[in-house]
Amino acid sequence: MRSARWRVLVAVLPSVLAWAVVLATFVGLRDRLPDTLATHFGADGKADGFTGTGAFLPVMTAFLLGSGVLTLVPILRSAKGLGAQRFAVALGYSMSGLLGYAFAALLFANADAGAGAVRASRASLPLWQLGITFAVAAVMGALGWLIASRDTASAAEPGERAAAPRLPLAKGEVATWTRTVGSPVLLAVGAGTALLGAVLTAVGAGTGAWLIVIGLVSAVLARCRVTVDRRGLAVASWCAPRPRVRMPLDRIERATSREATALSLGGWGYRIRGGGSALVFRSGDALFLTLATGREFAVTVDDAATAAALLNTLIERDRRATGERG
Amino acid sequence: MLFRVDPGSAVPLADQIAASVRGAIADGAVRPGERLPAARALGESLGVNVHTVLRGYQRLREEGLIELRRGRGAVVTGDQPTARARLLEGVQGLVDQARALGLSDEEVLTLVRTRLAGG
Repeated sequence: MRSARWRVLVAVLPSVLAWAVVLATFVGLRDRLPDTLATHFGADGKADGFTGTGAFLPVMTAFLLGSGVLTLVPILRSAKGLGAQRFAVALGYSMSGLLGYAFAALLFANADAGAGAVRASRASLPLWQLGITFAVAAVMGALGWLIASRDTASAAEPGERAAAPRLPLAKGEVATWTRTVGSPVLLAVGAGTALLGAVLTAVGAGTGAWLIVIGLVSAVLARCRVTVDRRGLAVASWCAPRPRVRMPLDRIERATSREATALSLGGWGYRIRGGGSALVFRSGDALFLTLATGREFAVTVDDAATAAALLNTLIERDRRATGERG
Repeated sequence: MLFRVDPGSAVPLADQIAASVRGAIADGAVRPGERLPAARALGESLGVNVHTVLRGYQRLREEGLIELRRGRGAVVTGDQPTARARLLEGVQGLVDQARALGLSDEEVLTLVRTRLAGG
């Protein structure tokens, strides 16, 4: 686990760097820039939108630093390591790369057109520059992802780990916990959607078929089977082996259970929140996994306490077996 | 529902699987109408042969705790499955104790018959 200062630095660094690079480019090209900058280009690469040169710096600063602040806010609000928010960090990095490269390319395009008010209209920015912009964004995003991934949550404290519930198993004994959980909300929404599709199809509106498919899929997934066994955790529709969600034992750090309302988990269905994701069928008993990445995964299911206890026991057994092997 | 299987135990695996379901029905963890996991999936999960699981399910069907239907799988059913599962657990306890005492099958049956006749 890195320090909070390290995390803030990692989060804002690309925005500040991109800002500095664009600023340096602006200062360096200052004498060659027209009074009015071409700031928008058509598909043919010809300029078709213009902005006063004086407005460039404030706008550029607002964009880049704004993107930095947007990346920083979720990180400051969470006590977890960056690994849990690597998506946000990667997004911030790719945004900085995208904006930084686009602004710099813009300045060069204007500078090449030469000084003078009329010259700006001659500036051109070919479309392939857009490809490079996205490539830079992708590389920066990957970089952000890698850096953030290095900051995984600290391994659970020994005390915390011991406090996690266990389900004693004899040596060699195999155990599987399984339970189905249904969602009246998802079933109603699915049935309603399918019904709407059927009505639309009947009156001749073309979009109905998709609604029927979506509604039926939602209804089929409204009841799922949650299974905990020597392979880890699996959640799949009760009537089909796929689609399914799978968490292998080596990706799970710890399991606990507690009551949770659907709204506190972000609503019904598959939810992605800051720092984790959840499969929410209803309010009530829920199983919470702390993953190796520091993220959290939750699934609402009855008797989650037994599931959590078995998972902790299996994780411990798995780690011990791995340790003995090498 | 918690399935526990110990390959090192003297009790056959199919009986261990049946006992897990019986216990779950007895303590209310599985309610009437509920479906048991598909035999193939459960076999893969526990690392036992699918036929072993089916043998366990067959035993439960004979006891009147579940129904096996083609295409629908195993469904907990019957008359008051919870009470029935508890009774069956009691019978199992009786058998275990009798065996531990070294009683023959005939002696156990005689004991039960005498009880039944006595009302």
